[in-house]
Amino acid sequence: MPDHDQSQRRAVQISVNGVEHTADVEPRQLLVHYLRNTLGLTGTHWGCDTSQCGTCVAWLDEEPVKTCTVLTVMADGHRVRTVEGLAQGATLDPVQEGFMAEHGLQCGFCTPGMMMTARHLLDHNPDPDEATIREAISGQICRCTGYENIVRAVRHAAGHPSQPSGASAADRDSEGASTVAGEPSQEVPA
Amino acid sequence: MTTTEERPQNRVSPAGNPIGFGRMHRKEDARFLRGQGNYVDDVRMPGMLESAILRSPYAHARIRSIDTSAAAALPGVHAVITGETLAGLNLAWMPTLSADVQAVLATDKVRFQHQEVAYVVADSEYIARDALELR
Repeated sequence: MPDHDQSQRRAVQISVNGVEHTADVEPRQLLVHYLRNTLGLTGTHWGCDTSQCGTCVAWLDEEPVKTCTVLTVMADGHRVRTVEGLAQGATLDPVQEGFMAEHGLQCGFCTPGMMMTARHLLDHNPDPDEATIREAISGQICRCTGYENIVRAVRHAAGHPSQPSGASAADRDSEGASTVAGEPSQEVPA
Repeated sequence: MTTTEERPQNRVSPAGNPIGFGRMHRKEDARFLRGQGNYVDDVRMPGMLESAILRSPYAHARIRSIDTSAAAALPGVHAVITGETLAGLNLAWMPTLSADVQAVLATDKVRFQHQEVAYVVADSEYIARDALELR
C-alpha cells in the first residue's frame, strides 16, 4: 500500500537558474517533475522515464544529470540550471546560437538536454573534436534531426564563443536572484 | 553537353531571409531553444487530471476478473476504467487506419504483452501509478 501521509513531505530549498525556491515535496518526487510541475519550468522535458533518452538533462551544481533519475530531495541545498537558464536575457548562449545556425533541432524535444550537455562539454573542453562531441551526447537520443547537425551545432558553438570562458552558472546565478520566485518560465535577466 | 545551374547569390527577402538558396531561420527555434516550446505534456489546464495505464505482463492470457475496488478507493483517484467499462458503453473496440478494429482496453483476453488492460485517472500521475499497483 503506497503511503500518502502528508507528514512524509519534506521541505526543500533549491536554487534554480539563480532563483531560490522552497517547497514541500514528496520524498519520491523526481527532480524533473519538481522542475516541470512544481515550478512550471517545462523546458526540461520528460521523455523515457528510464534514464535513457537524456531530454531531461539539467545541471545539478556543475554537473549535467538526468533529472528523471534524481529525486527532488537530493537537490535540496544545491543549484540547478535548466535550459531556461542558458540564455542571458535576450542574448542566446553560443550553444543555442549553434543549434539555430546549424539546424541542430527539428521538433526540439531532445534539444534542452542536448544543449545542457553541450554547454558542460564546452566549459571543460572549448575545442572538442567530433568524436569527443559524439561521446559527450551519447547519453541522449534524437529521433528527428539526426546527430550530424547536432555535432555541427556544438562545433559551431566552439568556434563562436561569445562569452569568456569561466563565466559559468555561478556568475549568472547571482545576477538572476531578483527574479520573482515561483514565477514559471522566467528568463534570467541579463 | 553539360549545363551548369546558375544559382542566384545573396538574394534576401524584405525580412532579411535568404530567398531560394541558403539558410532560413525557423520561427519556432527561438522558443524551442529557450525551453519555451509548448508540447502536449507541457499543457496545464484548470482541473486537469492525469492518468496511468495498466498493461498485461502476459502475451496471451484470459482475463478472469479485475478487482478495481482498492484502486478506486485510493484518495485522489477519480476513475478506474476497464475493458468491461468500455464494453458497457460500446467503446471497447476502436477502428484502425487499415479498416480493422483493435481493442482499446482488453475485454475477454489479452493478445500481446503490455496490451492495455485498465486505465486510472487521478489527481496526479504518481497517484494513478500507485493505484495500478493495488491488488
